[in-house]
Amino acid sequence: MNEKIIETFDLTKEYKLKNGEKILALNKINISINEGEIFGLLGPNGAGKTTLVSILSTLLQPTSGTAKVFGLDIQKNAKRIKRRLGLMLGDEMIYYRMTGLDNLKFFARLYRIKNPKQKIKDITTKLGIYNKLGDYVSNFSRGQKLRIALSRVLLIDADILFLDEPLLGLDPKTTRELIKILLDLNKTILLTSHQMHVVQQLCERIAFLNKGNVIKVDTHDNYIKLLSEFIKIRFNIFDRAKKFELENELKSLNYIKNISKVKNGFLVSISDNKYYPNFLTCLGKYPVQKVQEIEPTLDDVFVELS
Amino acid sequence: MFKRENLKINLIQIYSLAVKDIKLHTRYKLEFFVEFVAPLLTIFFPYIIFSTLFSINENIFNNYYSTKNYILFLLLGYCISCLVFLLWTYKDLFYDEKSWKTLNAVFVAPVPKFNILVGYLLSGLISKSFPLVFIVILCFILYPIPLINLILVLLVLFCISLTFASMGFILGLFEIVNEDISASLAVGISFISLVSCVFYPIEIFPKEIHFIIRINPLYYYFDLLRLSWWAGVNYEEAMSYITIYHILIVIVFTIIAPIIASFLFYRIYSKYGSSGY
Repeated sequence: MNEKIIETFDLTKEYKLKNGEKILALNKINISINEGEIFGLLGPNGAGKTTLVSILSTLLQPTSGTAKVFGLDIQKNAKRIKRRLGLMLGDEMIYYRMTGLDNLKFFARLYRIKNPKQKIKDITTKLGIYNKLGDYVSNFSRGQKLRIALSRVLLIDADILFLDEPLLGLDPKTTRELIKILLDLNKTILLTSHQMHVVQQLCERIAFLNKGNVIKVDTHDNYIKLLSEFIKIRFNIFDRAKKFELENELKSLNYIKNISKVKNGFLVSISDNKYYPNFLTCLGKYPVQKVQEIEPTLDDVFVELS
Repeated sequence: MFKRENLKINLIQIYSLAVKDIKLHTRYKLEFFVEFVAPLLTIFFPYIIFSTLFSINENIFNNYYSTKNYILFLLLGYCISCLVFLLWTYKDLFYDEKSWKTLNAVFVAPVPKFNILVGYLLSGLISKSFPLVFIVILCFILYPIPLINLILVLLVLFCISLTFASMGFILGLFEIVNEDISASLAVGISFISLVSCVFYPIEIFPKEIHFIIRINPLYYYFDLLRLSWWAGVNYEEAMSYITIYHILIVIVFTIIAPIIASFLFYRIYSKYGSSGY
C-alpha cells in the first residue's frame, strides 16, 4: 500500500521568454506520492503546479532532474506511463463541438477500452450525466462539463489520476457529490486546487508550492498546527469615525499580520498569540462589539506561506 | 507495429482521429455547405470574363487555353479552390484544440505520433474529397478521357491535396507554437495562391510578373492538372506544353511538403506542454 508510485528527483523546469529572460517554473522539486494516496498540490497562481503535472504526465520535458512514475523514468518510458495515467485539466480536454457520447467514444477508441458502451453507461450514470450524453458539450453547464471531463478520465481506468482544478466553480451540492465519488475511487490521485475545503476533504498530504519551490509537504492537521500561534479575530464596530481611527491604529501595530474589512467590522490576524492581550487593550478603547476568535483554516496557511 | 493486432489498433486510432475531425468540421452544416458553394462563386466571374474574351478572339491567349476547354479548366479550378480550404482547415482546428486543451488529451493518450499525424492529415483529405468527386464526374461527362488519363489526373489531384494538406498542417502547427509566424505564413501562402494561375492562364498576367509565377511551385501543379486532363482530349497539344519541370517540381514538392510537416509535428509533439494558465 505504501509503495512510492511517483517520485521526483531535483526536478527543474526553466522557461525561456521571448525577450530572452528565463523563468524558473520548478526548482529542484523532490516529492514522492504513495500508492492509493490522494496528494494535494497547493500554491498561488504561477507557483508551478501545472508545470509539475504536465511533466509528470509526460506532456512536458524537464530542463534537469528526473521523475519516476510507477518506477519508470518519465523521459525514457513515456509510452508505458501514458497507458496508465489519466489527466484532467478542469473542464477542458473535451471537444465542445462534439456530443458527450462522441467524446467518450473517441477517447475509448484511443485508449483501446474494451466494452466501451457499457463502461460509458456505468460511469456516466454514476456521475449523473447519462441523460445529457446526446447533447453537444458546448450546451452543457459548467458542472456538466466537469462531469463529462471526469467521465473521460474514469473511462480510461488509469492507475493514477492527475486532476487539475477538478471541482472549480461547482455548487456546494455537486462539489460534495463529486468529492464522495473521488474518495470512493480508491486510486492514487495528484490533485491541484485553489479550493482549500476540497483539498482539506480529499487529500491526505499536501505540498505547498511557491515560485517553483516546494515550501512544505505535510498533512492537513500539521499545516493547521503551524498556525497554533496565529490568531484570527473578527469584531464589529458601528461608529464610522471611530472605525476609521481604529483601522489606522491597527495598521500601525507591527504584530498585526492582516486587516480586512468585513460587514460592520474587521477581520484581523495576529502573528503570535502573546500579543493578544495588547490587542484586546487596544480594542478596549473603541466601541467594538461581538469579538470572536476564528479557527485558522488552510486558507490562512495558504496566505501565510504564499 | 507490423503485427496484425497492432495494425488493427493503429488503424482504429487513425480512423478515430479522422472521424473526430470530420465530426468537428461538420458540426455546423451550413458552414460545411458554404465550403462547397463558395468555390462555385469564384468560377462564376472568370466564366463571364472568358466568355467575353473568347467571343472577341478565340486564340486570345495564344496557348492551349482556348474556347474549347476553358469550362473544363474552370471546373478543375473549382477542385483546386476546394482544396485551398485545406490550407486553413488545420489552422482553425489546431487553434480550437489548443484552447480546448484537447491537444493535451490526444498527446497524453497512448497513441503513436505517426497515428496522430496520419489521422489529422487523413481527416482533411476526406472532408474535402466530396465536392472533388462530384466535379471530377461532371468534368468526365463533359470532357470524357481514357482511364489512364483519368488515373493521371487523380494522381495529380492527390499530389495537390497532399501538398496543400501538408502546407495547412505546417500553418496549423505554427498556430500552436507561435501565432505570429502562422499569421505571416498565411499572408505568404495567400500571395502564392494568387499567383498560381488557378483559373487564368499565365498570359493574362503582365509579363513583368511571369518570373514570380514561374518560380511558384503551385503554378506547375495546377498547370499539370489541366494538361493531364487535356492530354486525354488532345494528346499532342497537351504534351507540347508539359515540360520536365512540371513533373520534377510536382514530385519533389509532394515529397518535401509532407516531410517538413512531419518533422515539425514530431518536434512540436516532443516539446509541447502547457506552461501554466
